[in-house]
Amino acid sequence: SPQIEGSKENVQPLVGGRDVKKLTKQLKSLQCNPTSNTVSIFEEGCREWEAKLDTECPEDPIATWDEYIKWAQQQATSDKVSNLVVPILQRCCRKFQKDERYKNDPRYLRIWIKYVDTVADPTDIFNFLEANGIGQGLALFYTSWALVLELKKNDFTEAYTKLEEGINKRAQPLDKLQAALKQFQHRMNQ
Amino acid sequence: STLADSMGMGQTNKPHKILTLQADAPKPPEGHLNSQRVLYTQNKVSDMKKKVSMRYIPQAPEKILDAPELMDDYYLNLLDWSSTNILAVALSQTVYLWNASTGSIEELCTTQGEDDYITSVAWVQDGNYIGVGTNNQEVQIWDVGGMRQIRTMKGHRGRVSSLAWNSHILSSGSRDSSIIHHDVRIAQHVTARLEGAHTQEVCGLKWSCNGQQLASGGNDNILNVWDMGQTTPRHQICHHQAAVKALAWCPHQANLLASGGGTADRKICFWNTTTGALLQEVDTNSQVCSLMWSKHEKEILSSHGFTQNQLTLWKYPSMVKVAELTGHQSRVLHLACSPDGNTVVSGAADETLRFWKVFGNDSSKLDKSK
Amino acid sequence: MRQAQAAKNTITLKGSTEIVTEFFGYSINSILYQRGIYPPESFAKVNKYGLQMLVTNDSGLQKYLQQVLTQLSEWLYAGNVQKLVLVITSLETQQVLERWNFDIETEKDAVEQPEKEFEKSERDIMNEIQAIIRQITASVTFLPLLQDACTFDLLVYTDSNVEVPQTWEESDPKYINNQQEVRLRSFSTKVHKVDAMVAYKADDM
Repeated sequence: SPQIEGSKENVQPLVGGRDVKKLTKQLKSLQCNPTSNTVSIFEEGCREWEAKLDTECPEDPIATWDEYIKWAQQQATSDKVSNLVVPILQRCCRKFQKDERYKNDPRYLRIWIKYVDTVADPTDIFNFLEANGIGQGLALFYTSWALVLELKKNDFTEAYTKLEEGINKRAQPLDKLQAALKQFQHRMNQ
Repeated sequence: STLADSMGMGQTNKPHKILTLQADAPKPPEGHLNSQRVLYTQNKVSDMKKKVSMRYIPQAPEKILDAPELMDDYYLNLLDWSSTNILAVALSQTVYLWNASTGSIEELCTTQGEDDYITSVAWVQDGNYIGVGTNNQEVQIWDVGGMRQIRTMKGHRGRVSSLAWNSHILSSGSRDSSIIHHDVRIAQHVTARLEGAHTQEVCGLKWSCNGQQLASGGNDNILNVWDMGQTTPRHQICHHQAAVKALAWCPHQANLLASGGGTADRKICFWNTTTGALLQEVDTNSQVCSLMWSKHEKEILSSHGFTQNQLTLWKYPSMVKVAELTGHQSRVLHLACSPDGNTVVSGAADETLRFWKVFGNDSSKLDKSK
Repeated sequence: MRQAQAAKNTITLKGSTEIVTEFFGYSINSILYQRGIYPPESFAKVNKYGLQMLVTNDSGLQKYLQQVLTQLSEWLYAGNVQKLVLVITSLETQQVLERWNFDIETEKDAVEQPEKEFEKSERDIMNEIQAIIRQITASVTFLPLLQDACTFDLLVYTDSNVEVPQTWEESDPKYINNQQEVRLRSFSTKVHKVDAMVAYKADDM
């Protein structure tokens, strides 16, 4: 990890954490070829994944997308490259938005939430998901929206409404949603 | 080490018991939300502090220049504006000079080796010479009038990430964790080697406006303040929780220094460098890449990365936000100011330079002095 | 720094035990703060090791840590601690999310002759400790966000002949399924050597 510590300001934190072996390898190769173009290296990797998208796993196409996105996020240590992950997230979100199979697939909603994390104001995205019935059976939809309403918008009434709505719809896992509501109420009482 | 050898490394296989207190550790308060969240998302905690606008500040840059291959490396210092109105920018292997008066662009120099690149640039005060640091451990001096290299100064054992002039002294900070003072007039140019005060890359280096003190910041999270002529720091400040690259001496007050911290810190701190006292501290919620005082007002501009890539103008000492300028698509690594103090240029990892009329101008003050 | 230079350059078992115990106190506090386990406002800034450290203000947590550290210190002096592990667990799912592992080696001679002096300056030890604390802070570059509310446990690996104290009990090792590992720096007092490592759950990679 000396490579990692020596470059700590050049690596963007990632919600899911980083694969340290891949990160160390990347930083080493950047140290050997400091002027190498990280964007074109990334785009080259993307082309390999793009070729796999329609061929690998045709019965469950989102599985390959999911792997592709995970790869892309690990690859994107700088914001210059992570800017390029956003259109991949958008494409994946758009591609399956009418696909009934994935309406309540946690993998699909997680990809939406990753997209949500990249925008300054995700209100429209949550409204879109609601209107199109995406992720409406999943606790993650309500907890994510409630958190944005609470932390970003300071709209506590609406945050409460969202959590309650999820519980009424018996979104899964329900206990996670109930716990989130309880925690939220504790914060409001302080 | 001898201890490890004598003990053997098979520690974990030794027979052992795993013991823990019967009592549980206290739980966090009900409803506790991890405050580290701010590091990971664009949807960060809202900033409720109101911005106050005291005067008109254009929200858009007045000019944008392409800066292809500007390296996305936090630790480098690749942008500087001379007193003769020439902006120097290092793009990977080449230093370009943009004449802000005429708009002409010239190529000053290119590194020799295939994987070499420029790691820092700094103009001498009167603007005739420029110091150039490289990854192959060199400090070069270029005569800009003649567009030729005057000398190469060696001494570092790592890339030269930061440079700062104090009349004929050029100080250089390196990944080898040392700072060297070079007297550029003499053959034996190394007049002092400051070692041991930093343990990692020295990425921030600035002489105070009167040349009496030097501030250095490193990836070891340490800020050192040196008195001129000394080889141990007057103050060693271990306050930031991340690398210290952004440094700016206040032009209105000789012993006032601003420093900014990296990703794990995100704070701007103000120091009295005579006493070492912390005067003021503000959490910016994002990596601080660069700081620049206004020559006209008690205001300071900060540039940021991870995650909004914004420039923020603050009133000092209230630290009220005067303006927030967005537009860069990637983090804003460097700031430089025009000699008249009116225009700031920001260099970002999105490979553009943007010029902002953020500091207003000093015409009103000039009128008064007439 | 100038003061440290004048400080003594030898160390005994007792001195080493104090330094190592104190190190664990500060590093545990530092991890709990950096990982957001408790609210940041429940920590106070103190200067230690030439760094700004954060230490909990919560009396319950202080008492808990004191209990563990007092016992740990006894075991360190007796030379029968093999490692200390800080385990971070999700309160919601009870899953182990992170495991900060500190391997401890003790010089046998020191335990047999507690008065024996070993040569190592306080300043060198402090510099090594500084480097570890800095790595703990920098670990945000690779560690995930702990989204759930979490709690923690301290596990002490002792030699198997150690008697279990009254308020203590035996525990399972609380390993992580599917983990990533990062080795951090180590420090040595010449009496004790501490190797640090962090392991974390690698789910969404």
